[in-house]
Amino acid sequence: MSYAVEMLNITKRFPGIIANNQVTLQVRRGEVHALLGENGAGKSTLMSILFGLYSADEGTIRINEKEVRVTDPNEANALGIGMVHQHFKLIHNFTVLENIILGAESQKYSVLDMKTARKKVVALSEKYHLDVDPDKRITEITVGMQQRVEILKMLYRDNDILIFDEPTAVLLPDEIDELIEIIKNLVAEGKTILFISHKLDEIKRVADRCTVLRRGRVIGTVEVASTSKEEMAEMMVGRKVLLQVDKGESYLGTPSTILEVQDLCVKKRNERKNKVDHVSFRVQAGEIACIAGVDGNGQSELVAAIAGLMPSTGRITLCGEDISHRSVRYRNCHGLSHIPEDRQKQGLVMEYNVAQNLVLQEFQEPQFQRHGLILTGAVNEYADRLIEKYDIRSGQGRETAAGSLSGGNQQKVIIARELERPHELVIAVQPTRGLDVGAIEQIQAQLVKQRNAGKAVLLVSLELEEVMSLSDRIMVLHDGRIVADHLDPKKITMKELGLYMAGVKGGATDV
Amino acid sequence: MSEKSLKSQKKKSTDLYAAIAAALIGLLFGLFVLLVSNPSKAFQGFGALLTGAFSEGISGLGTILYYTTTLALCALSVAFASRTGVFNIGGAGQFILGGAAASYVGVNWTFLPPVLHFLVAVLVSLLAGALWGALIGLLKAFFNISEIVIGILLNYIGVYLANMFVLDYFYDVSMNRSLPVAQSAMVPRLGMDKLFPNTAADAGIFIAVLVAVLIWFIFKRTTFGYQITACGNNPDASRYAGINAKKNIVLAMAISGAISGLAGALFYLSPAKNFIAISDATPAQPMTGICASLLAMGNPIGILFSSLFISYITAGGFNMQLYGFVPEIVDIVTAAIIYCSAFVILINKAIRVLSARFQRKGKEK
Ligand SMILES: Nc1ncnc2c1ncn2[C@@H]1O[C@H](COP(=O)(O)OP(=O)(O)OP(=O)(O)O)[C@@H](O)[C@H]1O
Ligand SMILES: [Mg+2]
Repeated sequence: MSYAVEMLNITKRFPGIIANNQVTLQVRRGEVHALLGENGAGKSTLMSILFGLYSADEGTIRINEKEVRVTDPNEANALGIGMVHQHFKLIHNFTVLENIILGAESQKYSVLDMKTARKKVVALSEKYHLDVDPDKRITEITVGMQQRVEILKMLYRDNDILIFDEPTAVLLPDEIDELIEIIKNLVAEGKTILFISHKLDEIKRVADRCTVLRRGRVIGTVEVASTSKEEMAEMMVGRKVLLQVDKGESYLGTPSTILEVQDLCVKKRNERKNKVDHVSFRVQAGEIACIAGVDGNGQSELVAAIAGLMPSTGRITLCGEDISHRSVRYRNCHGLSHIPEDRQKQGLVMEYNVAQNLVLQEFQEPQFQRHGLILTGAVNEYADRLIEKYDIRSGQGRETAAGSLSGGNQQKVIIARELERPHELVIAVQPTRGLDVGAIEQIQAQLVKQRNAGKAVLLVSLELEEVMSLSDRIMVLHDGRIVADHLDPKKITMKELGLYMAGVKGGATDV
Repeated sequence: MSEKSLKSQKKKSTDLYAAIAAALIGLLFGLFVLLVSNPSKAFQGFGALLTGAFSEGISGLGTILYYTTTLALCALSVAFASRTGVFNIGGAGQFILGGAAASYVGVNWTFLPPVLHFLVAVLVSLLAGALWGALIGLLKAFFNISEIVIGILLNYIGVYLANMFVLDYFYDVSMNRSLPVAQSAMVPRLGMDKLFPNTAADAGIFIAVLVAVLIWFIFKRTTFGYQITACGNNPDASRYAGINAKKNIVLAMAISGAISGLAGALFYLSPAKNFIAISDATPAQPMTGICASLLAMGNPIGILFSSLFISYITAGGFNMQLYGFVPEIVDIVTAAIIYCSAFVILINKAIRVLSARFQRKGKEK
């Protein structure tokens, strides 16, 4: 058996943590090899070492049976290794073509040889059915397309070992299907794929073998076909994991409306059409109401309007009080918690440490400041408590900068903050994106606990499974309008829900 | 020692090494310029540059401290604004208006008793600078106009406004400059003239140190500092958290402007200067202040030292004229040193990369 990649006894330390501890990973030529592990288990770190972004403290790397040293991404490229990062690295106001050839420009008489480059890009795009338009600017294409540009970048450089770091976290369900097709094509052409994902389904569908990491160590490598999802989950978390939420008894208190939205419209500047178009609905205490829909149908704008981040017309009532014209801060202090869509852009200040991020809204409250001076002791105590309670794992506890947390732990910081602040309503947008199954279980349990304690939860999610398993009631947003607002997850099938989301079914009638 | 303090110490020490390396590279570049312009006397000249500040003994320190006062305050002004993510290039306008306003009070309000007279003049300079700074903040926050463009424009407007103001209210026709500031409004000497006889030294340096410590404290411990740093680092997250970014930008720019205004007041009210010349040129200190701030990476305490270094080189530069270097060359050399220092961020990165490689090599052996 010949190995395309062998990473032998790799150790990598960060201040306060061993991100990879004597990790050995062997990838056969022409296979799809999945990496599975909890948030912070060290998957991204291991791949960054292979790609030359970090250097290992100990251990050796062998590529195609030859020992190599990968000191930077250029060298990785020369060895045929390419990587699509968890967060894309594209230049936004460049075109697709420019992004692809950047750093690998083919030159003729030291003039950029665009013609040859274009030919190669178009040919590759056709060969792998990528459907990429080389002349569009990055800002003009969808996230799914951007990812294909990243894939083309690797192919353009003739890479044959391709690393995908959580490629599906940002994709819609059918985009995921397409990506899996693409990956299968790539393997058929003899490429070797390393694939990181938290979604066991995907691993089952696409991978041949899977290596499981936990807290920096390898737990084992298994044949995917002969291992069940439950077994993989257990290997990764170290205990049995419920892949299905148990919601327990529903809330039995008196029903009262927490959030009421009436005739809400949101229009973006320079756009004629409303992004959110005369939307009305209510969320009751003790329920998880879910807004389902295909991405880009007005969910982000609706949430932004409720949170006060975007101007809107119509009426928003929170706990009986009209907050339509109140500031963000007022809403935050009067019962609104908000787990935002984009954790890095909105949810965290990367340069601030975990403790500082945990009081992002509350630093002005009397328990954390006196006469404008921050009470560091109180902040630290609070932070330690939340880190413990929400199992936020990092190198240096509360002092860790948010930017050096693993993706999943960043999300946990936000969730801890939003659920611990006083609130009546939680708006949770994609709360489990990028989380491992163990963490998903915990967070879904937390949301259910909120509901059972009589809080209102407004869940916005693109993941149908999450929608179906977590919500008490489903509303579907299509093209800025609510096309169904009382779907019962127990009665409706995924397929029907899909039809609503596509705008085929729906209108005034409810199930 | 805890892991955390270890790490932050490590970061601070790289910052320090980078700053020192940047300064050294600047000096080498200065030497290079000298070698090109006048090879035979280059090394003598360079020696004069390095030691010239102390050619008259300890009293040289007085002159250095005098330069440091203004420079450090200008740098602190830049550093404060950049915490909110605003590049205050408009320091010159705030500086000259602060100076003009303070001088006006210093010349005309002679009814005030000595120390009070000075304090009132300083207060007025703070207001003038704050106003000019807040204007940039307002345009930036509410109309999203580039602070660089506004800053540069307001610098020119500020200079002409100050000229006009001097011409109208306290102009000395015979000297083409403002009337001298009354003794009672001058920056107190507090014995600095005894310590450093025959120099321009005054108590301004104490004020600069005080301001630096105050700013350090604001960033470190106050909710205000927390807010403006959050706005600077991630405006989206600040908005999400309900922090009023617009208000903070305006406020931070007002404070930044006030600090520049204070720099102007201490410069023009100093016993060594005490007048404003009518001139079309924008004052140079605020620009040099940008370099001092970069060299110290915006760290308020670091700024005291980077300003000290730049002042030392400036003072040494004057001495090079003794070796026949024309003032223009001296300016070029000092400017080269100062601006090279601004490469500190680059060097900082290089040090990190190199030390990582070095550590790895060490381990392999
Ligand atoms: N640059 C860094 N500096 C300090 N610590 C880091 C750095 N990068 C990662 N870490 C730490 O190393 C550990 C492993 O992080 P890594 O990003 O590899 O996790 P991951 O398995 O990719 O997790 P996720 O699924 O959440 O993305 C984490 O505890 C993280 O805090
Ligand atoms: Mg990761």
